Amino acid sequence: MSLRVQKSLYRQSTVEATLYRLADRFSAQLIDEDPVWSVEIHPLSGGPILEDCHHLFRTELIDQSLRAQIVQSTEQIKTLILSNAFSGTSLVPPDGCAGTTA
Amino acid sequence: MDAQAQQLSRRFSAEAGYPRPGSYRLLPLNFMAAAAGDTRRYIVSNICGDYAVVRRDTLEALVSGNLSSASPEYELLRRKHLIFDDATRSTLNLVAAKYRTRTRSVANFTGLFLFVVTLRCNHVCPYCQVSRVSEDREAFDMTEEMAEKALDFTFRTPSSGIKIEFQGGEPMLNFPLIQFIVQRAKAKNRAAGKDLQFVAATNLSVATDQMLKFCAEEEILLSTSLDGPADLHNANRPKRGNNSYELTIEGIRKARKAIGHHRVGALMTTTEKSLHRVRDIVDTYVAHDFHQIFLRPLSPYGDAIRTKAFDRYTAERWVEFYKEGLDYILDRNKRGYPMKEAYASILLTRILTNHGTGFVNLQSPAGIGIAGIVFNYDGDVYASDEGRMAAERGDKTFRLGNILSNSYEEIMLSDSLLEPLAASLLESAPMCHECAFLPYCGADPDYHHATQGDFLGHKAFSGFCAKNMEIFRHLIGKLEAGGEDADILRSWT
Amino acid sequence: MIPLFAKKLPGNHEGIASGVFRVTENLRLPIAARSQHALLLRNGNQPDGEFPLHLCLQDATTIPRSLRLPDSFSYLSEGDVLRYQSHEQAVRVLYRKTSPHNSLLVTEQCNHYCIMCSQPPRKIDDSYLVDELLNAIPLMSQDTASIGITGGEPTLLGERFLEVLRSLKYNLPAASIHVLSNGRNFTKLALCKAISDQCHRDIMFGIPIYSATPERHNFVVQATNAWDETIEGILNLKRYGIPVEIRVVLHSQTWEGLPELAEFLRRNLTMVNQVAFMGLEKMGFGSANWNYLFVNPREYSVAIDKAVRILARARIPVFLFNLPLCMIPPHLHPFSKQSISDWKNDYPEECSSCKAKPHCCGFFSSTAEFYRKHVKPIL
Repeated sequence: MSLRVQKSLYRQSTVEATLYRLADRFSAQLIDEDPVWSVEIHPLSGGPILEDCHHLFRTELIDQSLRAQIVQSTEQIKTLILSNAFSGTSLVPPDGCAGTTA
Repeated sequence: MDAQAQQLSRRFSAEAGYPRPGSYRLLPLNFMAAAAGDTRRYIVSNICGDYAVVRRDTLEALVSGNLSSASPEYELLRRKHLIFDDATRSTLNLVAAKYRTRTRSVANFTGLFLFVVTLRCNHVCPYCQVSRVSEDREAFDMTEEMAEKALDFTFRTPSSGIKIEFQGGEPMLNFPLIQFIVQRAKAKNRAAGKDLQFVAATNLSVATDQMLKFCAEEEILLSTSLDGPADLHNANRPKRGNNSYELTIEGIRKARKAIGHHRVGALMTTTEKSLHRVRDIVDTYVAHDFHQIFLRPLSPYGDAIRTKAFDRYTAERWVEFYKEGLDYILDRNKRGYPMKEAYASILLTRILTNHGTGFVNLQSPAGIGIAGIVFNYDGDVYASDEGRMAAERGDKTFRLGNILSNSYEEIMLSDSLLEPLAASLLESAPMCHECAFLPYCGADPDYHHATQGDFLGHKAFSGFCAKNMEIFRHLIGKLEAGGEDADILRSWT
Repeated sequence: MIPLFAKKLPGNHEGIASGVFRVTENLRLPIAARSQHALLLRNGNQPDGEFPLHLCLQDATTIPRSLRLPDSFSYLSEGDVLRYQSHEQAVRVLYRKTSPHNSLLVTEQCNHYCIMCSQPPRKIDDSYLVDELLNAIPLMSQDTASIGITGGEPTLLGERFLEVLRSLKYNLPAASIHVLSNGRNFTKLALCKAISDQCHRDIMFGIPIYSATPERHNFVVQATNAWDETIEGILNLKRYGIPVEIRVVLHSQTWEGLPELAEFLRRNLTMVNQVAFMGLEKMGFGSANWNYLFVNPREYSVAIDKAVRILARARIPVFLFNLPLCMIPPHLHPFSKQSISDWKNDYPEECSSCKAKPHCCGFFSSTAEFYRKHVKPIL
């Protein structure tokens, strides 16, 4: 049995990150069956059973999706903080509302 | 007094006049289940290591922008710099300042220099991959010429501190070279003005009164091996006469008398035999008045490199050993015997403060070459102690060059150093870049090279990752639980 | 308690010009050196009448340009500096040579309106204060070891504030300078740079943060955005390497958040030079809101204990000011400082049997009476 993931809801990178993190629990094959990703899961011997693997996948997929959202909404601020961390100057965020500079 | 008088005088605005802003923005953050496999509570951390533990629904509300500014979690997450709003715009500058402080230890470059003054030893420990019982000085001793060149190299460091560690073999078997190095280093330091320290890793069994007198006068710290009670120590460190433990204890006594009680430290190595003996091991340290113990992980650099599955299995077993030991040590503290566990102390310093710890195996970029460098007995230069041990097994991946034939630049810019550094950067590594423990953790290219054959390693299979994740979770759990344990742990930073 | 101010003083006021004077007891001071000197007379000493001002601790009727001071001013001595204001016939002591607690008020204007302020701000033109201090500073002893600057908010004076600091640097080179400021004006980097370039090396700014929660701090100081600007200001001062002390007055609105505040400081402002937790003074708004604000220190000793431990562990020096020893747990005694300025310090009678009295900060004169029933002499 394979799991189906809506391509409109989850990006390929999100599904791949999920499978990478769970690689010690099961092996999997990702197949493009537009408009879904089909994920074929093969439990490793001595690892969790198929049902548990599916559960692990679904939980981790949501986590990975949250992570992708965080990266997206904080990318700009992260670049700003990192690039300024070493300059020692005060920060004004991109929307210009924050930070007080001389 | 009457109720009226308890009110704030009317010329002032009530607290309600200073409301929280209605909207917030996320700071760059990562999250991880607070306990493995538990989806109820999550550790959320930012790029400079501030963290909070929240429920899953809070995490989801946080990310989707629906966290109510009236909720207590809002206040917590804002104070911990996981979000900011119009009332806390200074947060961006604070986060940048903390990030800068945390990375300063990387910029501070090499501080630890290991001099393998001889490979000869009077012990034949089964887990030791390098030492030789031999009288052949020519084959296994470092020469003065090499030492002089290595010191030139050492004093090229931009770091304000230099720590020279004498390693072996048993370094005391080549004591004249130690004397030579100490005197030459001190002479060079008169011009360089660095914070210069010496430490010798010795089994103390061959240290004479003269040697100890020299160590006392030159302020050389001594670090010895003490694996636990007599039977365990002697089993780990076989020697003719089966008296390694007795010699070590006698050596510690003599050394303390000669150079000062607290200038003698001890290190333990965990073997299979140690795994169910952690309380005995701690008790041995307590009985000999040590106030620090380093519960060091099993090393993967044994004769037979373990299979991936076994690596992970041993990591789990080791964590069990570690947790039991930590609880026992905390209990010693509660009974009025102050004692630190060194690994927890390093991790807690990274979790709770912005100071660098200089611990070679927990840095990103990796500490190899940057935080420490090894001059081997034959003049070969290695990026780490593990690297030179691998070389003795025939794997010279981490050999950077030779002190007699290569320049400082050739060594520090060699591919053998730069490649593993670049390849193991956590900030861009799969799984690591999204890990809540990223600000506290490090790359360990030696370990992953030894266990998985590449510098970065697949962290789902990594014993290093499994072990550290579990200890981070354990320590943060204890800190969050508060009480006496948390208080003791906080005092270790 | 020592009085620093007295008005409507009897005496022969005719011919005394308003201004600042250095106190001397030297009857024979060369006449050419007497301008800006006030001769202090006691024990029947008779002057030759040539000082611009005579301060009499005895009958003054026959001496021209003289003031009869109350006996409580007999502490005055050689080298002290005071101001005479003719319209009120008033004397204010600005500087006492032998005191470690000299503090210069540079303005009464402030952009905070703290609910416990002991020196409530006034929106008046008080620029004369700086004029006077610029005259007074050169009269102070060059050996002065420490000088405080207080307000109002001193930095509101801008260039005039820098002028005072420069005068201190040139005239009192040995003094360490401690300025009480809310730090908000240091959002202007130029001000930090000017201080770093022009002023004493040995200067420290004492800046309040009352909570890790901005809204609580803003409420306490009654100013929107204050917390954020203060944090930014502190960061800017530290960019220029200027020492900063964090000051927290303890009362009903601040004590509960102390551990979180300490944790916030430890984590984010590790570079501050010291932190002071301070007992409440019953003066100004502190008096008006006393019942709203006052909490017995014994009730918040657990919170202080936690906060002190967090900071001490982070190797941030921490001090307890204005908290009598009998009201804090014994293991916190080493952090306690005898901090209350001598001129407003008192001990209730109950303290006379106390063994710890010589090391104790005692009480603000304003609160001594109130505390009487809470004092527990350490025997």
